Formats: sequence, C-alpha cells, structure tokens
Amino acid sequence: MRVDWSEVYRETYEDLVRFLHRKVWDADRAQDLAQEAFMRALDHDPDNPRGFLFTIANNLARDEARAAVRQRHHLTLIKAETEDRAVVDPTDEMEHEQRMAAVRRALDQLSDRDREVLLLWDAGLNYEEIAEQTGLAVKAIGTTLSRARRRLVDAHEALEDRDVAHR
Amino acid sequence: MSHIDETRLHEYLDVLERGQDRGGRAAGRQGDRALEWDQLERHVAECGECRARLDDVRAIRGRASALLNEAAPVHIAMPPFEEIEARARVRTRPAPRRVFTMNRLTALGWAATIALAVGIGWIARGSFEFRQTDEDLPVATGASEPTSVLDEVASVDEAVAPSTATERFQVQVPAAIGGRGAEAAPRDIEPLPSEPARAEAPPPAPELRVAEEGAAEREQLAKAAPTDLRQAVGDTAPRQERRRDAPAAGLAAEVQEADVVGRLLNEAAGETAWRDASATEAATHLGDSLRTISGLPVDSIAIGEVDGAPAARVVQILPSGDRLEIVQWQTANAENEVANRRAAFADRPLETRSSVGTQVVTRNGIVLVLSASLAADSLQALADRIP
Repeated sequence: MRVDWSEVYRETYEDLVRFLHRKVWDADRAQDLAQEAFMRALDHDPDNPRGFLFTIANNLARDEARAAVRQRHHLTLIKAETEDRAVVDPTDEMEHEQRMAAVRRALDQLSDRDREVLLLWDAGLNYEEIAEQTGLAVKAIGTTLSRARRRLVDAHEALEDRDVAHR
Repeated sequence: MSHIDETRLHEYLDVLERGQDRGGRAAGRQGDRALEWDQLERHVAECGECRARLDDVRAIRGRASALLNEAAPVHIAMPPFEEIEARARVRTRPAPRRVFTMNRLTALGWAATIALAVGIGWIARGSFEFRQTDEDLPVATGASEPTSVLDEVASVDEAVAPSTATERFQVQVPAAIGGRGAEAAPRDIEPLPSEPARAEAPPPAPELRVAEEGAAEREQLAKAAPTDLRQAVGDTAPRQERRRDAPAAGLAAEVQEADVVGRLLNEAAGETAWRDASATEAATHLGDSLRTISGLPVDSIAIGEVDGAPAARVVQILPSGDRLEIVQWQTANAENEVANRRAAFADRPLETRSSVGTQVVTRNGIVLVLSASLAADSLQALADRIP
C-alpha cells in the first residue's frame, strides 16, 4: 500500500522539526532540514514512514553538524539579518534564548546514547522505533530513557544552581 | 509483589502517555504487557512507597518534557504539503541540457586564432621540411655481405656517403667481371669520372663518376665489351630506385649508362603509334620471330616503328595481374643508336616512366625493351626466359 505522505507530513512535521532543532539548534535550519527529509522521502514507500523520515533527518542533521562546525558563525550572522519571523517581544525572546541555552548545556552533559533516545522519544517515536533508529534492544530503551530523563533534570538543576551562585 | 523499580514505572507511564496521546500507536506491542501493567497498577494502589516513587517518576518525566519543550522552536512554520511535493518534483526533474553557446566576439577570436596558426604553419613549413639524414639511409639492399670489389665499394660508400643529393641506382654485376651476374644482389655504386677504358663506348655524362675501387672491374668490362648493344649495356638489370634527397653515392658509370639507354629506348617505343596485329603479322613486320616470355598469357600484339625501324609490341599479363610490355625491333648498330639517344637526352632529366622498371636485352640483333612494375632482379629473370 502506497504511503500517504500528506498524512505523515501532517502528523510528523512538527515532531521532526523539534527533533532536528535539538540537533542543529537553529529553528529555520531545522525546518529546512525537515522539509528536505520529506522531499527525499516522497519517492519511497517504506513500511515505517516515520522511522524512515527520522533516519533521513538524522543523516541530514549529522551532515549539518559537520558543516556547522565551519559555517555556524557565518550562518548565524546572515540569518540574524535576513530572517522573517513572527514579531516577538525582545525580552521574551531573550529569556527564551537563555532557557534554551540552559537546556542545551544540560543535554550536552548526557551521553550520546541517552540524548539520542530522549530526543527520539520526545519526537514521538515509540520504543521499537527508537530501538530501530539507535540499534539498541527494545528492552534497553526504557532503562536508557529513564536514566536520560533523570540526568537531564539533574544536570539542568545543577546548572541553575551554579548560575544562581554566580549571581 | 516486590517494589517496582524506576525503569518499570517510566515504561508504565510511557505506555499510558503514548496510549492516550498517540492513539495507542506508540504502545503498540507494549499493549501485550497489559496484564503486567494491571498487576503494577494494583501494586501501586496498595503500596504507598511505590506510589510515591511513581509520583516522583511522573515528576521527572514532566520536568524533562518541559525542559525539552523549552528547547523547542517558538514558532514552527509548516508549509503546505503541496509545496513540498512541488519542490520535490522540481528537484527530480532532469536538469535541462546545457547548450554550448559562444558569443560572436569569442567565436571571431577563435577563428582569428586558428587562421593565424594555419598561416604561421604555412609560412614556416619550409623550415620544418623533413630531410633524410645519411644515418637514416638503409644499408645497401639485397646482399648480406660483400661478394666483390664493387660490393665493398658500395659498403664503403654507404658509410661515407657524401652530402650532395643525387639519385641512386642498383646494378647487377656481370659474372664475367667477377660479380654474381644475374644472381648478384643489387649494390649502390658511386659514379666517378669515366676512364680511358670506356673510350670506345659512348661518352658518359659529365657528371658521372666511376669509383676508383672499381677500376679493375670496369677495365675488364671495357675490354670485353663489343660494339653490340648487348655488350654495351650488358645483361645487367638496371632499375632506378629513387630516394628522396639521397646523397650521390654508389653509382657506377655502367649502370647509369645502361639505365640511360633503357630509358631512351623505352621513350622511343612510347612515342610509337601502334596498331593491333596478329602474331604472324607482327613477325613478318619485324622480319624475325616474335619474342615473348613463355608461360605468360599474351594480352595484345601491336606493330609500329621505332625511329623508322619495324617494331612490335607484345603485352603479356604477369601472375600479379600487372602488364609486361616487350617492345622489340631490329637494329643494325646498337652502339650508334645508343649514342644518338644519349645526345637527344643529354639535358633531360631521367624522369621518364620512372615508376616502371625497364630492362633492355638483345637477342640476335633484336633489341628488346621490357617494361613492368617489377624489381630489377624480377625483370631480369623474366628477360632471361626470352630465347
């Protein structure tokens, strides 16, 4: 049966963007990559469309991370000048940026495996899909996920405590 | 039932969340564990410690999700799916073929460049004309080792070939003077000034020279040479082999002379108006039996006159399909005829019918000029078959 990509798109696009955003930490770029993943997937008819999309997205994010090492600063400057986003309160935006940076630092303290499983779960994948994406056993997903959640929360609290201490 | 560990509680809440939020999709096969979850719920309801732990896990999950939401983009623009499809179609469409275009100025520039290059090449062509060097010349054809004085002369001449560009001729030395006769291989012989021994023979061309090393052989040849044309030209097999820009080396006066005679006679035959005739008619016209080479089919027989003398021309077909022409006529004094021919040709280059080998022999007062596209030794072998 042919995959109804329009339905998959409607259900998965935002999850994919969220997942990619925590990979590239750039909202516009995450959306570009999500759309790119869909464009690449349209010619295929996989059994698990969501898993297929996340595989593509993961590869795109990996390539993006390599390129970002070289171009991050340049892209940030360009986007700061050209992006056309919804008008938001600068104060709110600044606070959001600070919160996001804190979460990013907390995520960076997780192991690659814990972070990947946590982000995939947050993107809406179930245990089997996560296991397929990461190569882990299905039974190991629960353990990994519980550990990742606690480490994320603990790391974030530790960072907040440190920031408070610095103030 | 023992207390439930944190991982099981996370799994339990994940199943509840995905079962409620994702329409059971994420729970999937985890739903097979429904009995296990029922037992867990009963235990949590009875166990205050596990209930507190479950609340703690629920808080951790909620906090983690909240943190991840804070790391989510504020605004996610979701373009219509049709736009994604359209972009994908554009990408998969084959790229338009690139058509090579060149503006007029560029084309004119290229044309001018090519024209200039051709012009320079045309003007400079003389500077790069190929010139064959002495080292490029092959060793004398035929023999593998010298068998007579003339052979040695030829070998020396090859080694010290002068720079003056002339023509080379090949000759077979008659057996009477110590050469190999008809079996002898062709040798290049250098021309040197004629000698007294050749006084009775028609004077050679001024530019001809006889090699000193061959003086003894030439003297014997001169003494043995009668006035008959046969002895004047000998049974040699002169055939000119032109080599572009070859140095003047290894040319003997006898060979040059024989070649001149052959060419002159052949020229005379070529100017004759021939008419077809039968063999009997040709023999009658000739006043002697018609000479042919046995074993070769006769293509045509014609009669005419060579300088007023009755002559016949027989054309025979060689095994290769080429034509062999035998022009024959009676002559009273071959020597005078040769002298006359030479005088007529004194200032003419030896270019006549250069692509055709010529061989002159005499048989009982009959001059026979054989012409065919054959090597000298082959033509000589054919001539030897004429009775």
